[in-house]
Amino acid sequence: MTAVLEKPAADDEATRPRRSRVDLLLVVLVAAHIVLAWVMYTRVQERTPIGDEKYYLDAARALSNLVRDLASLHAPHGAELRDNVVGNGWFMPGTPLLLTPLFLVLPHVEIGHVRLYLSVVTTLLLVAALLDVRRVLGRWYAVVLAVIPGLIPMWVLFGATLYGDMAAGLVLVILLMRTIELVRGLAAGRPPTLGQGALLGLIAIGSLYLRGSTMPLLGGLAVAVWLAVLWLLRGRERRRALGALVVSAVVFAALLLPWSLGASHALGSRVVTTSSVPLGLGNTFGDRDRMCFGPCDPDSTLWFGPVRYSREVARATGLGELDVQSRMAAYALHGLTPHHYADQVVADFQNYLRDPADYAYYLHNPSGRDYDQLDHITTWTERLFWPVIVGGAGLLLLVTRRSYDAQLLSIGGKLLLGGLLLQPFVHVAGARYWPTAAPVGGLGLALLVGLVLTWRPTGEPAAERTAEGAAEDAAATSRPASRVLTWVQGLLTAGVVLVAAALAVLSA
Amino acid sequence: MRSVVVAVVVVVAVVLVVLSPRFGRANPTADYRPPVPADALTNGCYPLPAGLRLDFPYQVRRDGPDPTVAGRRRLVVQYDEVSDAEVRRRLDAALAAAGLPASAAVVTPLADRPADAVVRGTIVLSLPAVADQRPGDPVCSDPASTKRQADS
Repeated sequence: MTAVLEKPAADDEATRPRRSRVDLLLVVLVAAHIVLAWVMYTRVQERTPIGDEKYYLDAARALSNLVRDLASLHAPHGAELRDNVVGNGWFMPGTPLLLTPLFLVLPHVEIGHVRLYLSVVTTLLLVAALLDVRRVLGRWYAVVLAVIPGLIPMWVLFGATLYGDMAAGLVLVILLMRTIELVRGLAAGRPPTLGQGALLGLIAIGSLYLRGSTMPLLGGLAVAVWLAVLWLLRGRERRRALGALVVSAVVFAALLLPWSLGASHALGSRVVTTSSVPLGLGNTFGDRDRMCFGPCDPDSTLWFGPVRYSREVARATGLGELDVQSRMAAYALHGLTPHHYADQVVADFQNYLRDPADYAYYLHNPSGRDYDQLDHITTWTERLFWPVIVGGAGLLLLVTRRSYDAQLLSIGGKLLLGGLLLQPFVHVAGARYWPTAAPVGGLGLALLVGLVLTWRPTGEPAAERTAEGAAEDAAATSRPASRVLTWVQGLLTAGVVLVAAALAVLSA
Repeated sequence: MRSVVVAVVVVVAVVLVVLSPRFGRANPTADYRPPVPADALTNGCYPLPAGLRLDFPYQVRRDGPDPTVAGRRRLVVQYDEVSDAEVRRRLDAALAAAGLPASAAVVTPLADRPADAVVRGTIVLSLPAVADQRPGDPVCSDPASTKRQADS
């Protein structure tokens, strides 16, 4: 990898053969991913749904029934939708929406076929993300992404599950590419079209439906794009760009609204995305023996026990169950010290990063899949997980002046990762969350490697350096680095360092 | 070409949606949203002594034999929304109506109680032991409803 960030340049005799070889490598890597996805699928094809997968499956069934009811002009089955789609309000129904077409045609489809369907969908999503990355950042970025995380066994295994985390990460990559493309256009004086704005809103709401925890980063990204428009454009162009962003926001809100209204109506309180934050805070940072204004029932679990209790209090008092849950969490959090909070956040980060292949054990089918393969999955996931950490951490800390495009990726990556990493601050973390962040970590790794390989001790201009590297792949395209973007990166990095330092000091 | 593909996809989707009722109906289980269990004092399994009625918002937290006094029942409920004095007054009246002494109920306000607390405290009732009134009914062996937990 020599070019830091490149986009396809005009063809010439010297670069065309090299570029086609990189494309060939990309095709080989995608083929390897497909083989790996097949192997992972065969491991879990008979595995009965575990944990939250049960919700996603039920929600998909209920949504397919909703379509049936509407198609046959019958009233929707309200109770079925309330209990199976909204449920406790813990999850956004993105995976169920993906599965609805399957259940529409095969209402009693077996779990194996559900897993196969999802494997195909997530593989197609990976290909779409790779094509976008190749187009926007260049071939080598796509190559790195096809390996990290495209060939991490556990990440691929997640593609055959009903958890939306892995798919959400890929949608975020597509969103990031479209955002970088949009800001590049702004810098060249080109406002986005209304269609581009609508598409951006559509992709953003797609990631939110797959994982409710993407909400903060979507907010950050939206603020960044609005500021970019105000900074880079003037007059008519600015108005056109703002119009496109309004369209984006309208599409986003219009597609979120049915869920928010439905969930709020079903749960009797205002729900925008999910309702799990109070219980998450209480269970993670509070005294669990105070969660039900005393200990919760021992016959239930950490999550279901408090919900059942809140519904019992709601029945007795007429309050909404989510209102009760907020009060329960506040009571459990009474007396929480900064030290305990920071300590728990650190523990959460450890849980987030430890045992990345943990779910391979949960998903292990006891009826005969071989344990040697399980060991291989664990070993190779742990080995390939380190580059994700290095890429992610590097991206969070990086302040580059190499090129405008590198700066855009650095800022966008920080916003995405920073938003995703808010999760350990509010909720028990586990080995299920890293797959969302892994593709951004892969892009961070590609950026870091590119920067290292093209580093020169002399002060030659960035454009010349990347042009030199372009002999391998593509020419430098980037505008000169921006001082403002250097400051923005510096501020974001300073924020990350400050939070990390505060955690270290408070938890000591 | 692209528009043809889009048109074909749309037509296939519409046909599938229109035909979907013929393929049958999916059966969601609502496993992740079990119904709220019946109240322990009204499910008919282990009722309160005749004449005793709790006329304030409450939720039962524990029920079962009193581990310290043989032949007695220990019932723990939380009271909601009413003041400590009010719940004491209502309890005394209810206990008297059932022929039980006021000392059968001990009221303890919630520790660190916030000003706007909904759940305001706990009542521990010492009552005559009662047998399962509906043996064989699955509700009566469900601790989610009876609050008769294995360790109580």
